Amino acid sequence: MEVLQSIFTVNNLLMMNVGVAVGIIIGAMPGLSVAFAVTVLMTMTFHMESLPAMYLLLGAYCGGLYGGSITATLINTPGTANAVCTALEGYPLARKGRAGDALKCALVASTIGGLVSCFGLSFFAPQLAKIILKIASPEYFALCTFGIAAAIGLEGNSLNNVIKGVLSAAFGLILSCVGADPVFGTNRFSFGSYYMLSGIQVVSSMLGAYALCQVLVNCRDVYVKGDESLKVPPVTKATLRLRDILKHWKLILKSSLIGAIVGAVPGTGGAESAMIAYNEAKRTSKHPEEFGNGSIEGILAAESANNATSGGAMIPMLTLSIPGDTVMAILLSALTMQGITPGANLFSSGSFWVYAIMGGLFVVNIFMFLQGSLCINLFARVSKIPQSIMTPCIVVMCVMGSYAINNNIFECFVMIAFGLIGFFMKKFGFPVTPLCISLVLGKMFETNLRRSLILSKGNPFVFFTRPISCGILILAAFMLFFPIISNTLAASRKGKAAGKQN
Amino acid sequence: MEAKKARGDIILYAVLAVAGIVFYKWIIPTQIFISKTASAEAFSPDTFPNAVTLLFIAASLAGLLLAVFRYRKAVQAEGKPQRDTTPKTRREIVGIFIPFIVFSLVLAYAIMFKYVGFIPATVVIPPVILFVIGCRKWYYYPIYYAFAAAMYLLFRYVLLVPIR
Repeated sequence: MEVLQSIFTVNNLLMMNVGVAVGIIIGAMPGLSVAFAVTVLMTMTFHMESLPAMYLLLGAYCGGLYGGSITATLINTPGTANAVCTALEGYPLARKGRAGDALKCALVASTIGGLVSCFGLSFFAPQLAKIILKIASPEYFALCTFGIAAAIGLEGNSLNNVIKGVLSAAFGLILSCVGADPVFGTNRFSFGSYYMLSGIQVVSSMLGAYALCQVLVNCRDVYVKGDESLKVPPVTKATLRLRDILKHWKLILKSSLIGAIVGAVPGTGGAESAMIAYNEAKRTSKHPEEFGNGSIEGILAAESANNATSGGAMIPMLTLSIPGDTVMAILLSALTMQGITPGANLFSSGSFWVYAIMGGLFVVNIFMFLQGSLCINLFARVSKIPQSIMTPCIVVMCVMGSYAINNNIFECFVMIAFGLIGFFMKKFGFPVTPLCISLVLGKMFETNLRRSLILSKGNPFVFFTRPISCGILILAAFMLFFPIISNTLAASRKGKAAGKQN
Repeated sequence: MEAKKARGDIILYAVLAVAGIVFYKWIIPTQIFISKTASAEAFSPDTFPNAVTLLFIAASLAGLLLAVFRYRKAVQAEGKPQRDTTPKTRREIVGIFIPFIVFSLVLAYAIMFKYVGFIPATVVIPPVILFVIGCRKWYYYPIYYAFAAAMYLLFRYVLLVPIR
């Protein structure tokens, strides 16, 4: 009762709303991440009371996770790495005049994902924490392999596409090697430039590979055929009703659980969970051919998994004092500043703070749904803006966004380079998603591979002798080869049926 | 159609395989310095990049073989690919170069941003992009300037990004 009374005060509810609004706006801005939103607001919390400060940061976190889907849907620019899968489905749907439906699906899925992970945090945190302690370097390596295999398998419906996906992923892994070697600290591929020492920023590469690339692809059509060629059909308001979306409740629940579990593993985040959930949704869908062309199921899976990481990521932070990512590190420091020590005792002692955080997370997700619902139709109108006026606006956003990462013009040049790379990749039929996912996961992939081999004294079978790692690697192989095998079998069945008819 | 695609893929995979070999033989040895300590280890700083590059080369060669096989199969089915003789309009010919012109302008924008400043660069280059892609509606230009101004205010004064 005391917790409820504490949550539902005017100040706390206001802070939640402010946090959600700021999080959504910053999450939607290309180049600015969820961590940026939380960091910016953290400076405002120094003179605030504990609970409103925590709710402000939680609101920014949840809002930021959802915000990336807005620009991903409207202008094919994932605001955060977590929204890459949403861009794959949301943007084609927006081009068909259904931006409102795409945004509504993303919003509902994000809300449900956040609520499911909140329940997971409330009831299963200590049990999940015990499992997390068993996860070591081989499991991390296996998870990274799974994420990369899932990204390749996305468009791998033929052997040629799988080969192109592997090439794209390999290129991403090579690019992730730029910078200092994780074990010896040796400079790699810096080409004499000290800007390259810190490696390639994922955000600038994504801005280039998605946003600028799309500008370069569209500008030719705008020049040759005019704005009419890229005009969307008139309908942009949301036509899907809530019950139509909730018909996919099994998919949303499954994806949310995937997001909560993957998010609970320190070091992983929304990008990996969204990719895994998206791939799983495609594999089990009755209409897999719709994926890549504006599939509602794809958006629901990706967004519910993405937001479900919010609660999942709190599990190691609250139970083990292990922050899984930058945002959790900020929240951990915020809790510590308030005199609260996260750890196993926090749950067992029935702490006020545990229930306050869980309750706050629940209410924050509700506010996110309300705020998002008010603005869906407004956001959807963006897809009606003529492509010619969008082109210079997106260019300015990309340059400013990439500059804002490190206040360094070098990131703008990285963004531009990736724009050209993305343009040629699209021209020659290479998927961009494996490149981005490999860039995100590459450092963790290599570090854990090397660490596993060092700890096992060079034994490569360490990945197969540990059951969790072995299971994940088998799933990764399945993700990679299942689409080709099923398509080949389907084609041969078709051929046999046609032969019988003749 | 399939033969033309396969022929394009043959050239593409061949180029990628050569690029991979060049990367393996020249770029990696010159860009990664191996100390004595590191060279004594089984897994040195260049092991992972070498392994991934070999994967890249292997995938390129596999793609090349597959493309050759597809080309032969397609030629048997459709015959050799014919040149596209459909006449192109002047706009379509220029349109092939528009992405590269826009890319050059974006690059010029970044360079101008670095040496002159954000505001002059934003005032000059993006409207040139708008003009180059064929926009002749005068009211689009003030709309763009209003957007750029709003973005500048947001980044400079709200998010405190130091742009000048």
